[in-house]
Amino acid sequence: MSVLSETSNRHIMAVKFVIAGGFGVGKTTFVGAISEVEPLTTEAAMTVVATGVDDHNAVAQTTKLTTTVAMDFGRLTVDESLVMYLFGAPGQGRFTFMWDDLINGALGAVVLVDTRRVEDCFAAVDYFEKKELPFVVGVNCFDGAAHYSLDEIREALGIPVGTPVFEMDARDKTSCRDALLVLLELLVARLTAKSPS
Amino acid sequence: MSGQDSPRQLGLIRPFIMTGGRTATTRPGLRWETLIEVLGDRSRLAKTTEQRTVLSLAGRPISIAELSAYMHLPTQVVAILVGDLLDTGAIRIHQTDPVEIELSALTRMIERVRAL
Repeated sequence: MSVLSETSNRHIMAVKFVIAGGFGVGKTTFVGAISEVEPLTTEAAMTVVATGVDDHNAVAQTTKLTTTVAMDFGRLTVDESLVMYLFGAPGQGRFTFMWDDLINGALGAVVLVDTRRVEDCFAAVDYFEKKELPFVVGVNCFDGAAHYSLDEIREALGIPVGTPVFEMDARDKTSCRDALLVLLELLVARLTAKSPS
Repeated sequence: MSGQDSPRQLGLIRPFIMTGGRTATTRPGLRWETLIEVLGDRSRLAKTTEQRTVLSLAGRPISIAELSAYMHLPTQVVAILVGDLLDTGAIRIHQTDPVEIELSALTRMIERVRAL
């Protein structure tokens, strides 16, 4: 906070990361583990389009409803000119409406997988791949949950070689920190591969 | 920020009333993490209560997402308010175009996260 307190002409770069996953997988806990402030809640307005049946007149047939979806996010000040923001985002397909806004400018994502509901992150993985947003996959191993090997998870989600998949525990701060480091190291590797010096 | 039974929280005032019905900003460079900051003492340039609130919160760099959280308004509404304030010259934004991240920035982030 203190390093952001002075008004001056310098520019502060804000970078964004996405923590995606299904309900109860630990997105907010993850955000809270990294954030220097208690996670805040923002909301994105969402237009639900109830589509009509007449294809020839689709526009005329639709009804629009506006509602909002809450998202928790946190902040980590790196230094006087760099701030990281982490947004917890629901991974299920019905939230894709806001992912364009969400990943606009984002550097990368951590996808949290609950082995009891792997399908909750199918849509997020597909979307990040399509948009070429670098991501890593953290597999949360909850007590009593069926245990799948990382290879099985990789295959089930269709995760390409070169995208890290690892086990983690979102309830553990060190584990969240390490997951974010895996993502940051991936970004370094991609950047170095792109521009060899 | 506002009382528990305020019209806003009872849902009696639709957020987009504050934007004159606009649902998207004309400034595509405004992202959730975009930082804005008041330029000197320009609070007189605020035309509405919401604009005044933005200016009061933006004495130091603050993101659109944080404004959204503190003001209990959707990010899109805040982006429109911020766009209007940029037009008046009351605030500045800290970056516009999508970030082309540099290795040195990533290295600084890694060091910071490692230190957690």
